[in-house]
Amino acid sequence: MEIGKPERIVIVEPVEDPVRRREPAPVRRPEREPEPAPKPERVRP
Amino acid sequence: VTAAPDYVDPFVGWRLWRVSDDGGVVRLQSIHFRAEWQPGVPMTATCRRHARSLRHPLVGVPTGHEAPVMTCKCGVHALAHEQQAIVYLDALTMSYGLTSLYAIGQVALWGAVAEHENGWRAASAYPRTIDIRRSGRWATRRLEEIADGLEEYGAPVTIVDSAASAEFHRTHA
Repeated sequence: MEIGKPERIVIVEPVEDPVRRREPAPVRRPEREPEPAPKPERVRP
Repeated sequence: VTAAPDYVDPFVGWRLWRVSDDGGVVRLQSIHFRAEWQPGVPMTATCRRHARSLRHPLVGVPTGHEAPVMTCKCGVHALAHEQQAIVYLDALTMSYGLTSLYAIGQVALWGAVAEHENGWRAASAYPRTIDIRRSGRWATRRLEEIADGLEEYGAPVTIVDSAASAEFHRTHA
């Protein structure tokens, strides 16, 4: 991955644990387009 | 006496993973190195570069330094923007005809962190979000099984359409 030129080094000490165990989040899926409604059958007059 | 940290919140970048599935054990893998990201465990960077030995020029010796340092490329890499990760994955796919499944996601970065123009190299990292990009090669049912396996990381897992990835994030942020 091209991240470009280095600029400086900093120290990051998170107050909260970044790996804290979380309840598994449900998988998000993109909404699917609704199925097209079936065409009404032609009724002979 | 310990020096005060520069920041107390982790940096958040974007990166790619290869997704492996070994008999239902689904894991994130680094792309360029043999390194598996374990659920619940931070990825800790080590320098894998070997410097040339002065005594034995054909034998490499480990650099031995902690990652990252300014003069090396070691550390867990992450990009500043999602779009950069998408472009990178598309380039890899076009160049090498990749057949594996890949994920793009946010990653928390902490410890010593090298700031770059377009991203970071960090001593420690852990996934914050995991997006699997749907492609015609993978059946929806299979992707959903893999997504369920990735829930073990405790990070939100999303299945997104390849072409609509960026748009999906904008609308679901």
